[in-house]
Amino acid sequence: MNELTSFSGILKLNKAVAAADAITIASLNTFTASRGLMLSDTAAREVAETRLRALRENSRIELGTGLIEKLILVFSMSRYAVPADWEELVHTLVESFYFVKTEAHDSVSDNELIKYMLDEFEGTCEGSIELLTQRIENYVRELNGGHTEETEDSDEE
Amino acid sequence: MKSELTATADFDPDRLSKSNYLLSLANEALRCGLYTEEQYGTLESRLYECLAAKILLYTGGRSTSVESTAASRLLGSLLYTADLSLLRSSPTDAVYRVLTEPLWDICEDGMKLAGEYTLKALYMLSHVKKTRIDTVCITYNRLLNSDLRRLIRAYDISFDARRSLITADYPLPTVNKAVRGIGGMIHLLEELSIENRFVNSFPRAEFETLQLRFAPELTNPYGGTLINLGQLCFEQALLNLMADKPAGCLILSDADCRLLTDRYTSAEAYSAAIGIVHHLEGRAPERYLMKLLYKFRVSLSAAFGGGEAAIRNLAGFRDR
Repeated sequence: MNELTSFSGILKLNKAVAAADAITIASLNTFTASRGLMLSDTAAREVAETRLRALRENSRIELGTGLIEKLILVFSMSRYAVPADWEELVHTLVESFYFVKTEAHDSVSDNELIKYMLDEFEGTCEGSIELLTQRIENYVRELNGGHTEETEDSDEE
Repeated sequence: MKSELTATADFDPDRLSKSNYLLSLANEALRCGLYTEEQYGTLESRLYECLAAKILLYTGGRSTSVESTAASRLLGSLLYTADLSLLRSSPTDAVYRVLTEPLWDICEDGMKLAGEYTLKALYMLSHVKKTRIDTVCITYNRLLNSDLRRLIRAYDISFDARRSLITADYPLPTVNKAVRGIGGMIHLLEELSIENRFVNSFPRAEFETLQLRFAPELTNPYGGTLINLGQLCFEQALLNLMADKPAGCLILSDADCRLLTDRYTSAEAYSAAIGIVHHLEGRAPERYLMKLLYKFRVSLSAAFGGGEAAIRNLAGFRDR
């Protein structure tokens, strides 16, 4: 990883980056406000920090906030996205997204994963964030060729 | 602007690292005031943008993020190819190019060069094969028969250009393992070419007998002792010279071992070796011989400190 630390400014996952990303994330309120889905400056900052932490914990590098913007814009269109849970949902989406990418060894593309998450959120989960988390964990196992009780149960249903 | 850059006397090319050229160039330019903090920061941003584009290419547009190890490889590729291109310019020109040319174009130019060097490496490999040593050494033969070609063919200019192409099976004592990528392969092939010439310069009968003595090591790569043929010939030739035999002899007799035991102490042996190594100069460049001598230093001193049995062992006698 020598190259990654050679330049002082490149790829640094720190609070300065989180602050800059938070501005971008908060700016998305312009597009989501019509549905009452808003992230305060503090909340946007926390989401940015969640992203950096998720990247770090899943040993990933991402340049730019394009992915998080896509997640927010796509899920803001869901009928189950409500102001009361919006912040929690965004945190869950961000954490889950990078978890799946690394655990599935990048076998699923960004768009495929976002579509899966949205389909599950609006389908089986009916807007439940807790269920969505479980479904995503099962999805990773399926991608890796494993099977779980939950998947067998849901298959029976 | 270029004249302003080149006029700065503080710029010290000795501070540049060939294996980390772009970054050392930028750091040196910043240190001596050729780059402002802002320009240096802009370079960081441009590298950041190039890496983002590289990630998209790498994932085929399927992902904006990659695992850290992949990111490291991609950044290494960018820097390596940029270095290849910049190393063709003078340092002061390179400082100017980094400021004025799109970094992506510099990397693309480096990728073209890497492609040309790959073809050069394949050509050099065919030359190395033509001049190869006729030997029973399994690791040497495997290196020439398959490993090198496989490594060159698998070289990934786009996404892993900085990967080390040095193999571990056949030891190459004169190869600088810090030289990475296709440049490292060309360096390896140059050294192999020198080794071939060096080993083939000895009388065939001497080399055949030497191979018989060291057959267990040469034919069993899993036995623990990996032997480089150039190093083996060098050591035996040097011991023969120390025993007053003509240059070109590779086989020590029982009497030679006794003579060496009586003649040199552990402390004297290395000095004596330094004094006579020039007798081998017609067979290989001096720098090659000096690297082999340096590698020989420890075992030479140890053998001469261990009495006749140790010297016989060094000469390939299997007394036990």
